[in-house]
Parts: sequence; structure tokens; C-alpha cells
Amino acid sequence: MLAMLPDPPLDERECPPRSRTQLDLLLLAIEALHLGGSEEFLQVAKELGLEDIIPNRVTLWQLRSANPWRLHSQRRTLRWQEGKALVAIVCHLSRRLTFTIRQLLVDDRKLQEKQIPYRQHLRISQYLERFRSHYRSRMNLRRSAVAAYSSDERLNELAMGLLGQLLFCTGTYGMQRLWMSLFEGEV
Amino acid sequence: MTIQRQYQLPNCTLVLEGLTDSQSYTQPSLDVMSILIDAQCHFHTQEQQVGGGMEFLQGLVAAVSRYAQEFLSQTRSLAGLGGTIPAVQLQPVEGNRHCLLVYPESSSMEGESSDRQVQQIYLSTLELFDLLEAIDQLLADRLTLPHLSLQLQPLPKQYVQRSSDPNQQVLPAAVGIAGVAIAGAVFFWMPYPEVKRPQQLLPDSQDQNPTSTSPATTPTPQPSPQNSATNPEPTLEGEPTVEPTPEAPASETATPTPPSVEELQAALSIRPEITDPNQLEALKWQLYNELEKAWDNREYVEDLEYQVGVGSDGAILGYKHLNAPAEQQTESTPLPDLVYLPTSEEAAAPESVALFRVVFTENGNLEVSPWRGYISEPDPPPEIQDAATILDLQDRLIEKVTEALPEDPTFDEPLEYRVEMSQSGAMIDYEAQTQSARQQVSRTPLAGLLEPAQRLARDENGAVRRARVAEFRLVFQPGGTLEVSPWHGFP
Repeated sequence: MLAMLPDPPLDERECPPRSRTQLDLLLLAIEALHLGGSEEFLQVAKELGLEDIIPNRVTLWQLRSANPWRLHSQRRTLRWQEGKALVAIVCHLSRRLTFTIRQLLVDDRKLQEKQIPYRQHLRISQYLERFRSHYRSRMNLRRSAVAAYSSDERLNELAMGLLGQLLFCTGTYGMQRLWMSLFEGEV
Repeated sequence: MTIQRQYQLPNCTLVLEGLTDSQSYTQPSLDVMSILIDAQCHFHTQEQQVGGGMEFLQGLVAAVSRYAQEFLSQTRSLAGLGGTIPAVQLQPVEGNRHCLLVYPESSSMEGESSDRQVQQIYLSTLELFDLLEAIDQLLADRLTLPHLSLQLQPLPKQYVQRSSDPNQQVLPAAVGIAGVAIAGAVFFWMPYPEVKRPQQLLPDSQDQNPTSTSPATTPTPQPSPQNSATNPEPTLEGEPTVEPTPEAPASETATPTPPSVEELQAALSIRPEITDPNQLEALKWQLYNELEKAWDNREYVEDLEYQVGVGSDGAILGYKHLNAPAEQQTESTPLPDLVYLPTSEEAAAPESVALFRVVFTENGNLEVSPWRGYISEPDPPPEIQDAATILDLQDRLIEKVTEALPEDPTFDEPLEYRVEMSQSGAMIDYEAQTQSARQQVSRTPLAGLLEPAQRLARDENGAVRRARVAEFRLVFQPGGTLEVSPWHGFP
């Protein structure tokens, strides 16, 4: 399964910090889209045969906490194999949520054209509200990079941006594209 | 024999027409299209469609593929790669839209001059994705132009421009000034009510003669600067380190002016110092956790020493270097990144301050201690007395450890530990009870479960205090069983 993802041309077999943040945020967006999100990550890991890499909730939490933006960030790196496993989970779940993601993006487009605020759209405002509360409770708002998204407006932008990125994970080569994008500008 | 292949998605259809080498009359769908005659790309919401020959298709594949990588990684590749203008380009436009530019092909006939203009199509993210998906399906299709396949390579650093990160943006000078004012207030604090003339807070540029000024007068001994010639007056660094974005001219960076003595005194008079040992102890851990977590580069030739001021909610309000290496290498510490930027309303709010000495040692350790020590010994952390909570925490401890244990754990002998759990259900500390337990701790999952940051909690005002804890005896038995019991029994 993970063999589909080629190794990037780097000596260190570790995912750069930006990619650890990116993967964690994509998982956060999935959780905000879908109430069963976090439980499902483990379920999907099992289905995809990734138990060796993510055997339990503690490991999953540790991998996600490799994100330096987290409040309880673990001082650890993310090995390629672990990064690939998270990529597989993100893409697999986005594919399941394809319809929801597309629908929200279509509606987002309409709202923007008519200049209607998000709060008047139940599903989008629910997603944004959940994303904001997840972000604020789990990220370290004292870090300047994290605090840059402290306002509702900035967090909404971030959440809608992530929704677009999740859409790109649903495609034929979604996994390969997401994996390689993590190393953009890091070589 | 010409054949046609079509990749249809909700917003976009890609139609290829080409020639096949071999021809099986029974199943045309299995013929391999090896030569392209014409490719047409049609967006369902748009009037115009784009199309062309092999040059167009290759340009489209390359441009869309590259742009998708930039979209996913939030970066932009710097223009001018490759030197020539590609036949197809994609650029981001305001409002989450994307502009597809198609230049006329070099091989197009003179007679078709009416088509020889650049085509521009604005796409939504969904249309862009459907175009990418059509292309990816073509790349994955081994029966259509098999020589086209997915080619992904991350761009090297020098060709990539990070998208303007909000924290890289230039902050208004007012914020910088407020930051300096707060830091100034913090370090201006003195133990006596009469305030000395704060010469060390004046900028060097005022041509002061830095001879007789001593560092902050405090009753406890502190290291005086090692060499006053190479170590000018301590300067304040409460403002964030703001790097302008590459496009921004350097003149736009915030260059805060140091606050006047009157401003500092005014700010100071409303800032009491925190002396309660229990609160200091909690803030010490909070500061330690925050710095330990964010401190990446740990290779120093000498110790770096700082004085750091912290608010009651744990926010780092400012810091001051105490030795020359600390001044030169501030950027390599997490301090500039962690300084709390107050909003202009907050800047005026009175807040009590705790001062700490922070040392980033040359061997990569972090030392944090209260600047003036403790008035009295801090109490042990408050214990949880409620049997139901203890029982619940015991269950959660068993669950955590069991989940993290390897498949068939085997230990040579019983390994006993004292474990502290916080009220929130996190393991905040453990202590081996025997020599062998100390040596074999790496074979247990304890280190991975440790969440020392959870030893802290916040009260309803947001102030940091120590979390209530319960202690347990935890024994890993050789057979793989786990024994857990409350350290002091049940109340």
C-alpha cells in the first residue's frame, strides 16, 4: 500500500516540520467535517493494514503531536513510513467524504458570488465552528505562527483552504500528490 | 485508424483523438492510442474550450500537475523556471480562483491567425480539481498515450517561494512599541519602592558612557556581565522578530522606538511581582515546558543566560540577555518565537509578573529558576482525595499502559514505579522504585506516555496553577501482567 509512495530525494528519512503541521491540520479538518473522524482514523488504519505503524490511539496521538504547532507537541520527528501512513489515512477518508467536500465547495462558491456570510449556511458554519474549536483547544496559541490564525475570519480561511486541499486528496493520484507536496521546497 | 478517448468529470471533459498502431476489430476499447491528433478540454460552465496538439497536451499536463503541488503545499514556484514561456500556465487569482492561460502553439498554421491569441479561463477550485483528475486518469490509462505518466518531483528550496505566511507579515509598529513597553516594564521592576534611574534601559545610540551602570539591582547575587567592554548595556527584546516577506521593502519592517523613562515607570507602577511560591512553581514548569518543546537547535559553545518575565497566565512577556553569547544567539533560542504579542487593548491592562532566570546550557539542557528564589518551600502539588476520581484515574492508567504495551511483553523481574496522574488523566511523572526498574524503563511504555505539560492546570481566570494529582504504584510483572494500586491506598 505505502510502496506506491516514492521516497523523496533526501538523505534524512524524516518529514520536515511544515509537513507534520500540514498532515495534522488535514486530519483536524476531517474531524471537523465528520463527527466520527478521530475514531475512524484507527479503524481506517486497520483496514489499510497499517497496524504495524499505528497500533493504537496513543501512537496515533504521538504522530499527530509531532506537529510543532500543537499545545502538547511531542519533541519527536515523523519518519517517512509514519508520514506515508498518515497520508494514506487522509486520502482514504477524503475519498469517503468526496460528496460532502464537493457539496461544501460548490456552496462556498455560491455564497461568495452572492456575498452571503457563512453563518447563513448551516453545514458550512457547522464545519467552520467545529474546526475553530478543535484548533483552539489543541494548538498552542502562544506560538506566533499559530496565533496568526487567532481570529474567526483567519481560521475560516484556513479551514476552507484545507477543504480544497482535501478535495485534491480524493483523486486518482491523490496519495502520491499529497505525499510529494509535503517535500515541496524542502529538497 | 483513429480512435477517441474521453475523460469526463462533473465540471470538465477531456477528449483525445488519436491514431492506433494495432487494431483489434473485436474490442476497440483495448486499442492503444499511441499518436495524438487533437486534444480538447471543455469546462461545462464556460463558453470557450481550449485545445491543441501534443505540445498543448504536454504543456497542460505539466502546468496543472505543478500547480496542484503548489496548491497542496501552499507554496509558489518562482517564475522563470525553464527559461521559455510554457504553452500552458496557471496562476492563482483573488477569491480562491485560478487562471488558466493557453498560448497558441508554435506549430499552428499561419492561416489560423484568428486563434493566435492567448486564451484565458478562470476556474474555481472544483473545476481545477476536475481538470487535474481528468489528466490523472489519462496518465493512469495505459491504453492512451502510454508514454505519458505521472512525474512528481518536489522543487528544490531555491525555486520555491513560501506563500506569504501571516506571521511573516510586517506588524504595525504600534504592536512593536507596545511589546517593548511591556518588556521594559517587566525588567524595570525593582525590589524597592524607590525607582532608580533606569540607565540600562536607554538605547546605546544615545552615546551614554556605559561605565558605572551596574545590572539590575537585586538582593540576590547574579552573574555580572563577563566583560563590560564586549557586553554593552542589556537591551530589551520584547518585540517580535519580524521578517519582511521577500517582496516587502526593508523600510517597512517595524522598528519600535524604546519607550521613555516616564512610560516605563507608569507601566511599572501597576505591575506587582508574583512571589507566591506555589504560583511561581507552576509558572516555572509552564515556562520550562514551553521552552523545552520549542527549543530545536541545541548546539551552543557556551551557556546562554536570560532573564524572562512571565504573566500569571504563563505568557512570556519579555526577556533580556544576561551574557554576550545570549545576546548574539538569541535567534537560535525559542524566545523570540514565543514572546506573547499583546493586542493594543491588552497592552494597557495591568498584570502581575514573575521573573525567572533561564539558562540554555551548552550541553543542551534547559534550566529555569525563579529570579529571586522562593520565599518559602512550595507545597507538594494538591492531592486528589476523592475515591471515585482515584478509581477512575486508576482505570485510565491501566488502559493507557496496556494499550501501549508491546504484543507479548516479557520482563526478567518485577519492575516497580511510582506514577503521578493528573486530574485530567495524563501521566505527568514516574519514578523507578528499584535499580533494575531504573535501568529497564526503556522496555516499558512509560516514557512515551509521559505528558509533563499536564502537571499544570488553569483556574477560571486563566492563571496557571498546579493540577491536582493522584499517585499510583505500578508493577510490570515478568508474565506480562500489570499491577496498579493507589500509592496511599484509598482515602
